[in-house]
Amino acid sequence: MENANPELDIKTKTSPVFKTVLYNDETHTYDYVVEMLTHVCKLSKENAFRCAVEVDTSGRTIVHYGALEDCKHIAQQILSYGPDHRLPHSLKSMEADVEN
Amino acid sequence: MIDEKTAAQLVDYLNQLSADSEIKSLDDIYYLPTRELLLILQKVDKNLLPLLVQILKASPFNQFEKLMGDHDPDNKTLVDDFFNRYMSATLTEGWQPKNFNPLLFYLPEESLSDLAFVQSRQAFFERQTMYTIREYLESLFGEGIPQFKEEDQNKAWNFFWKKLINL
Repeated sequence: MENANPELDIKTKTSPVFKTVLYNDETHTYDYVVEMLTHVCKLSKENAFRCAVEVDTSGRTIVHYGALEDCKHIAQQILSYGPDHRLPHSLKSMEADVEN
Repeated sequence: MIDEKTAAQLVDYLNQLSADSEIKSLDDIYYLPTRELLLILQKVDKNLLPLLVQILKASPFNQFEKLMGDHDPDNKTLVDDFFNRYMSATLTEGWQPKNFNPLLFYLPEESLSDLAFVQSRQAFFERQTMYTIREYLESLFGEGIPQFKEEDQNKAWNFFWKKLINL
């Protein structure tokens, strides 16, 4: 069905919203997730902690909504943030992906 | 998750905090109304809060998720209080002494013979301020560290890495 508002139609077609999803693992602490998300996604400490709780509880959490390139950039930053220095056995970054 | 003796002590403790319900076993907390549970959690010692949260996370009724997502305006203050206390009990930031150097602590000299481990810490190293890096390098190699600019973390890492592989 065509949108009655052409401006809205253009906006919808040109600005699809993607999301960056963070996945849980057992080699990163809550401190790491909060530090990483405040640094990479510029989340407040409280929102970063909510994401940390959600990823721990549900296995995944959405950390950013936006244009594809932005979401890819954030996922890339998460993937290259490095291991959790607090845990000697942590040897890689957390996993992240982009979804629409 | 916890042994019987600890569970019994915890039940006694929770009963002291509970104004309304009698708690006979830890499973009973799964059936408490949200507001009553929040009132108990408000009084729980901060050091015990993570243990209680672990128990709630095991709830078959998603008790923990309900607490975190409770939007009842009457409970807002209690939910905020629970959230802030849980965050403060979980995160370790702020426990570090003044002038704490994370590189000295998390990348100690005795770990430097494991080059694969050290290499995995490159991003962590490069996130530090130059002041922290300089203090770390001087503790390892003494005087004579090059003058790196504030944004020269990668150059400092390369200097550090070359030093290590030539030791």
